[in-house]
Amino acid sequence: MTGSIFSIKNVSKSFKDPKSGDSLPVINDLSLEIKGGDFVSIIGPSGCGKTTLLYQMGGFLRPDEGTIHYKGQPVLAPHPERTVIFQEYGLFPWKTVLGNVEFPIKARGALPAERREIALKYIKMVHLNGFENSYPHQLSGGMKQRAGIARALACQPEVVLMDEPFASLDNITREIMQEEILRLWSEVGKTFILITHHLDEAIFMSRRVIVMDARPGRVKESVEIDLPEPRTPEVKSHPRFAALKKHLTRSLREEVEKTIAFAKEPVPAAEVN
Amino acid sequence: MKILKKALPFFAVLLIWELLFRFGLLNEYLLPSPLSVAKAGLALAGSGELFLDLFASVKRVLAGFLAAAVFGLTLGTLSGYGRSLSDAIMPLCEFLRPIPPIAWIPIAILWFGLGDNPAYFIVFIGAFFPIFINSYWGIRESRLMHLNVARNFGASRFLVLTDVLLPGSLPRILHGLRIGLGLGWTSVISAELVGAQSGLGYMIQMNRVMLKTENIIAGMVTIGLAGLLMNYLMLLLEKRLLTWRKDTLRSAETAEA
Ligand SMILES: Nc1ncnc2c1ncn2[C@@H]1O[C@H](COP(=O)(O)OP(=O)(O)OP(=O)(O)O)[C@@H](O)[C@H]1O
Ligand SMILES: [Mg+2]
Repeated sequence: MTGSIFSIKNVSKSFKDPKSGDSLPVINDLSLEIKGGDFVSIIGPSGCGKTTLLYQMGGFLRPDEGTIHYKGQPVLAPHPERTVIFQEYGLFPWKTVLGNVEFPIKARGALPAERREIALKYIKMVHLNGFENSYPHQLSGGMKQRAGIARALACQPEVVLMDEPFASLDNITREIMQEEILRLWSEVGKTFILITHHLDEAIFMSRRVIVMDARPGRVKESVEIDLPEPRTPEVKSHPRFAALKKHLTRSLREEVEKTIAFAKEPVPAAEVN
Repeated sequence: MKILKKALPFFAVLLIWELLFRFGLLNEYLLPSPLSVAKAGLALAGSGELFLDLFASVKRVLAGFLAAAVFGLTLGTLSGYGRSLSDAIMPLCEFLRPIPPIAWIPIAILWFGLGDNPAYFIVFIGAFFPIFINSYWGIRESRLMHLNVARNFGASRFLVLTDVLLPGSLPRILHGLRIGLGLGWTSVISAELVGAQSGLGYMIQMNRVMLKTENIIAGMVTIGLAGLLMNYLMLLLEKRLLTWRKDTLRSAETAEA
């Protein structure tokens, strides 16, 4: 399909419970197209397979059935063009901020001087200058988050895949980070895919919001967010924003209720995250 | 203040010991007073004898420890990284590991005669296993998320080793080195009890034959102090190399020697 950077067709994935040997279907016949340069959010009830989907797009997991194509090529393994920001950021605690951000540049074989220069540029971009030599344990949650983003961008990816990146942040920091990510998105012109539980966040940031069914997940609906761009906090008081939120709330609520009904039956496997 | 707190138990033991002696509860040949031990120690130190023995033991422990560190780290890292190597050598290691270093002394004397060589060997045996096992598990228990991050960025196997696996397991590796050095030190003393003509182990054994209990205890105190110092230096090294872990662990407090 032209214009699609990701083309996901009829993907199914299940996990085997090591004890009982039962197989738990997590994603069932999911299809999705994602346009290059878009900002897309994925929402859905907890345990519906969002992280699993993201890992498959990143190349960390293979679908049991169906195909995932990235720029027309099947996704078989992780690749620097598609960078995942994991739920816990995955910063290396033994490296400083600079060391962490330099890592992807080092991995592609750049010389130390060049490495440093590029890394400093991205550190500045996320406003972490002055903290180059701090270790992750010395940073606040929001700063770790930004360091993770700087590292992902330093890899110069085409696609940034983010798994609930703001989950551990307070509301104000979260809003600031949302705006920063949007700024970065418009600056670097890449594709951003965001998993989130926050409807406001999904609507505010995205051009498109994908709602997933209760497990086994598939795309329930795909909602175009036709709000003006560039997004500023003012769009949150736009009447269209409220309408979209109302619609998405209802849609998501149905699925969450299904999940809660399911949960009364025994759950076969522990959650990954 | 802190150092005072740490020295207090030492003084308490000395005090009780001295008091027991004063009340005539100790047999002088079995346990002389701390004062006569101190005197004996000073005399041995003054004549230089004590230092010759100390240096002989330290030389042996360092040589054996260094060899164990090189082998243990290399083998542990490689078998932590590559499944097939660990499958091949782990059972052998787990079979050899429970055989204590002292149990190797007879065969070591048979193989290497008396003197430095059997001691090097015994130290090697004592120090190797903690170093090997800890570096193996350090690498093995690296966090999958960090490996995934490295894979995502297209890092080579070599870069994964140098920048992810090794630094990530450094706490465990350093711990193994510290335990290894401690075990190496106890091993060298055991080896010298029977297989050497110098060293602190030999020295205390000779003094038993001559019934000089105060010299035996002075020797034991020296062994203890040297072990304490080595452990302290290793902890210092850990603290130096693991600044990134500071404040994140409760043990960081204890490591502050
Ligand atoms: N490696 C695994 N082995 C077994 N089961 C797994 C594994 N990974 C995920 N699962 C199961 O798959 C289901 C979906 O997990 P996933 O992490 O994709 O959900 P999610 O939508 O990201 O949830 P959340 O919003 O809570 O993060 C869960 O029921 C989980 O228990
Ligand atoms: Mg998840």
